[in-house]
Amino acid sequence: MAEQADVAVAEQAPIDGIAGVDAAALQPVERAYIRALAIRNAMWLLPIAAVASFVDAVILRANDLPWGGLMVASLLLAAIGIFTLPSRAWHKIGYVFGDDALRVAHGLWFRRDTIVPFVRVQHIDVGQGPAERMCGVAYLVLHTAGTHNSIVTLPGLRPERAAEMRDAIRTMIRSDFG
Amino acid sequence: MVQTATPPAVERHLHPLSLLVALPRLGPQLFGLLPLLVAISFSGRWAALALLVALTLILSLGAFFLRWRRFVWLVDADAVTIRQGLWSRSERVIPIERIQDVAIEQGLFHRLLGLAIVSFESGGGGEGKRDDARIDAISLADAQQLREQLRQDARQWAAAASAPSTLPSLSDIGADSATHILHRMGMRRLLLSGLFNFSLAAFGVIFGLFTQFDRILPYDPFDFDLWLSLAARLGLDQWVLAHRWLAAVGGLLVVGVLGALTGIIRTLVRDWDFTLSREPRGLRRTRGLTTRTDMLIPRARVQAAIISSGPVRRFFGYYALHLQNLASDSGGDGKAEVDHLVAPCVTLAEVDVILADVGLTRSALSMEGWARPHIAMLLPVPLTFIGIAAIQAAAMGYFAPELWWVSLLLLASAPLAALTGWLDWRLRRWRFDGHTLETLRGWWRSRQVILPARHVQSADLYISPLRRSFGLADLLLGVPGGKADRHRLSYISAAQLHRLRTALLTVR
Repeated sequence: MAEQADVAVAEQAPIDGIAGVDAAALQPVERAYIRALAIRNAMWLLPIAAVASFVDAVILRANDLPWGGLMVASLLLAAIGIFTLPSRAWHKIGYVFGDDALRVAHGLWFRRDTIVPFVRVQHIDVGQGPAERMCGVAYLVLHTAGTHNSIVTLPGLRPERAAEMRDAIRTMIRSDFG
Repeated sequence: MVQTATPPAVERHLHPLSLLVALPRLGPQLFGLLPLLVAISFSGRWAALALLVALTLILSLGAFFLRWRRFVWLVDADAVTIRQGLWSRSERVIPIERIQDVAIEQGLFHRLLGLAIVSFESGGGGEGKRDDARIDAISLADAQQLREQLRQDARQWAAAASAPSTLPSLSDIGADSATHILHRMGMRRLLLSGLFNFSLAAFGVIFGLFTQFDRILPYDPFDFDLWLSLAARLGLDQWVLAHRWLAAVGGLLVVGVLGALTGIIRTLVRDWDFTLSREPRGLRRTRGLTTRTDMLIPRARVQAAIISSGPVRRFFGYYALHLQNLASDSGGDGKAEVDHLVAPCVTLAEVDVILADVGLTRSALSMEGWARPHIAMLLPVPLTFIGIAAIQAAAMGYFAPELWWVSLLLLASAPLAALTGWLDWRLRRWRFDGHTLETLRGWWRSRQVILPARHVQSADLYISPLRRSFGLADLLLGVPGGKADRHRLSYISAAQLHRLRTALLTVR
């Protein structure tokens, strides 16, 4: 699965139809997304690790309780969340932007692979969280009329690319009736 | 951050007075400061207190202002765009032809200041009933102008979209009304349906009443000894002992009669004079004895049909028919119906008549001509059982080795679980004829779902490690309305599902 994400296809021929989208190789998202994920995880893991370390080194030690374990564990968890998991998550995400549908796949063990035809899109979001802004990546969200699985998110795009995709989908929706 | 698609449209902010309306929302933010304020005022540092309050106010107001500055909306030729956010930024684009409704609402403060909130609804879906976008707030005049503009645009789009199709002719409305009735429940059918709705709920009610009144009654109805002594006093105990089979039969009879009566009464009250008739735009359902309801189900909003039945009902050849509707619909009964019940108790022939009216067809319930899930579907149940039994055995071995046989009890219940799992697997079927996907499942309560491919909004393939090792996958379809996981095919060959998914999404 990881190798799949590494196949960077720079410029692809137009991907025609749902069958084309289904058959095409998945494109990886921007590498900067790894950094964005790391920052996002750090924003909540580091404070927790800090509090745990404080409890460990001050309160536990002052009360003559065995100390040191909590600090090591919390710092280890934070390190995994910041340095290991983001790149793994990045490897698992792939997408295909076809002529009339978007395909987003994610997950390694439990894999989910979604196709949304553009004509089914009700409205579109493009946005950035704080961490994503720092790293220059954006997400694209397609909303369909479905009640369940109706929101499909593709993170880790260059902002210009996300806007480009959004505009392409807008045009597709229009031509649906034109 | 992100460029807009078409530059010329004018970007607009919210009305400046909307800042004033939003001020009350500051309250909760200040509330969080309360402990700190209390602590400081106890320490008597009034200067610090004043500084803190001033700082918070300035920061909050500043954030409010910046947020107001960041909130931009614009309407161009083909979409409404809303850009917002201070830390997290987002830009939502709603194509105008997707806008179903533009609502204007005013709170008390809005009214005083001449402001209005404009909210948009696009499509039928979305979890919950949140708006798809909200402009809070602009001047009432602007709001009305915006709504007028969008409605005109939407009308143009609608005209362009539905130009070739014609509305059902109105000529058949005036005809004899009896010919338009698709289904009506007579007294016999009502009673039959009531019997199928056999329910022991009455016993729950009686039990509940007893527990309620045991303080009022001079005796405790749950005191078994009391009944025994009562029986002994009346000489009943000997009689009951002598005829215990008769007593058991009598007891069962009481349970049966009461259960049937409960079902019949409930059904009579709910489905009295149940009538389903055809109208030019859809199906019209009227029913009810005490509360009579009248509901129109527009044909255009019907997404799928569900034919369900219970074990007894199915044996006698009767089924219930529901229609899955767009999510935003609520039933005429006041409370929202997830699916609309259009026939509570009908034969398959009668089902076909109703289905035909909404443009659906049903395949026969035979075992031929349907595809089946892979046998690997049976694996999770025994695997879970063995796992739990192993954990339990380990725990028992550690804590109470003399009770080792308890683990065997758990394993003994595994065959039952395996049997129901096997029955479930055996009866699951699906078929796709190029236009309609049909799924069939349920060995106890059965369910046949008929879904036209054109209503599929999105399609997910799901692959777990178990599925992967057999080359299998699940297909989950996004369809407006209904319940989660209804439109799911489990444990089917991944290659086959890839083809099915493509076919489903390609149909228009």
